[in-house]
Amino acid sequence: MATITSINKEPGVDKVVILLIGGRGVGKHRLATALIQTRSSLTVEVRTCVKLPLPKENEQERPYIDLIIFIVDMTSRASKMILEESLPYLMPECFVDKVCFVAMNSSMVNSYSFGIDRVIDCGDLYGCPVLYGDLQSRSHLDNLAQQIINQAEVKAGLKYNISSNFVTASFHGP
Amino acid sequence: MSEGGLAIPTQNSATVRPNNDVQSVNRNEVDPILTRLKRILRKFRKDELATVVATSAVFKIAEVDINRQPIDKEALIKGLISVLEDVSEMQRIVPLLELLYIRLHSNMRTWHVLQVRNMEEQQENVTPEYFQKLLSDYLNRSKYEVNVTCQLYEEGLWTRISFTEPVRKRSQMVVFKESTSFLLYYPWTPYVLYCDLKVAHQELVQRAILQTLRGTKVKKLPLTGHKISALIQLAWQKDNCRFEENEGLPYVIKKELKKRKPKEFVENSNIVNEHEHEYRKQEDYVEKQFGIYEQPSLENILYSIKTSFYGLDASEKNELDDHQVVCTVNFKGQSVLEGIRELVCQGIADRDLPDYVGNLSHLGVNKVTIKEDK
Repeated sequence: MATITSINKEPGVDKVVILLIGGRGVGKHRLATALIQTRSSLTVEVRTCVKLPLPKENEQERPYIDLIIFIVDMTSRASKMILEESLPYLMPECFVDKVCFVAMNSSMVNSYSFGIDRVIDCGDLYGCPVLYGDLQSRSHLDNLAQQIINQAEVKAGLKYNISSNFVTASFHGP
Repeated sequence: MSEGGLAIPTQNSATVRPNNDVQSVNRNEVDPILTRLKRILRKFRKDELATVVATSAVFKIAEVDINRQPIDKEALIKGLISVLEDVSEMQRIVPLLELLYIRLHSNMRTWHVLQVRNMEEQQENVTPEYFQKLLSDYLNRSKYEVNVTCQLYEEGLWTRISFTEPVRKRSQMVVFKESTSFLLYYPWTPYVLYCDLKVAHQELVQRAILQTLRGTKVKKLPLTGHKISALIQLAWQKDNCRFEENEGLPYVIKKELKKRKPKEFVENSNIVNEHEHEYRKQEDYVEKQFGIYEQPSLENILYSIKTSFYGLDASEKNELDDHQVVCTVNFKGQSVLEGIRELVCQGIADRDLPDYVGNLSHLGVNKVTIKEDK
């Protein structure tokens, strides 16, 4: 199986590759379009997949992945199952500064299939940030895309004196 | 089922019927009809009453202008009734109103499907008058008093059949029980839909349909639902291979047929789908299996299995007859076939679906017995 690891390829210069993982209908393509259209000093390439592991056929052409986003649709239990089944395919070092969870449709509280605490607990367990998004309005989607791009810029080393470890340490506190 | 009891005393019932004067007619004759007329008019919504006025020649629009001023529904109904001249007009208009109501609210009834085999090719003669006359002639040979009304609407013959039979009560009174059912027949198709038909009348009506349409056999399909066009389409697809639009399709199917909107995908070289190959295979399979048109709206699909446990010999099976595995699965929703397609698209259902799930739109049934051990 093709596990994702952070040490087998070289990162691009002034380019960031974001991998969006989520079931069908969670809004990957819309989020990908919003990411590309967001103003940034970087060139953004987005790769989408339904679940891990990634197909072996694309192994050679696949570039270095800077940021992995797990998109969980709060209104779909199947989406949570995809997240739980995909996490074992990531190498442990990826969780240090490459992974982020997005709880999509977080404003539709009445339609939740499971509690938001499950996603928050997942974020705490793996030490990864959790973002909240919505497909209902363009402004929410752009806001989410901007947050993801900010993270990507930190991981690509474009923010002066800020590294992803520093962000993680300051987030969790002493 | 609408049933009205008309209590008529058996002794000395004098009926006087002067012209153009409803009030002086025998109350026993007028009241039930008037009650029935009011009941059917009250069923319509206020905006639908405009359709009643427009489509019915009896209600003269000059006298009842419902758009001029806002009036409440009861006053409107009173106004409509007041333009009727006598009992015979009321008797004539009640069936037409019931037919109109059924047409406007056909989705609220459960329709069943009959298939007529080997009909003679004389469809051009099937007019509403012809259909009404032949059905009425045959049905009135039975012990019931039958009243048949037929109207043509959007190439369909909507027919109302009312059966009246006397029911003797314990006292001297004879009560006439009336039951109403509705048929829908689209000429050039071998299918007749019916609703509200009592079991006791089913065989009689089936024979009447066979006689009228000159077929050799009539068969009730295990297909029921609320949406007429969906039922006709499912029955049609059972007997015809996958069709292309405008290839001899009945009007009722053509008007509801919708091509699926293609997904709005803006190709972008910076967005790469890792599972592109798998995705294309999935899309091809779904299009091949379910077609390019939206699935007909079926609200209910029932699967049943009745079998015994494996690994038993014959004698044990006989002993365990009472312990058979009986399982029924019911899919319910606005459009179950569309839901099954969506399950395949989402990857939740496996691609190689069994025939009774993936090919359901061509089986012409919504009750499937997967296995039944006897």
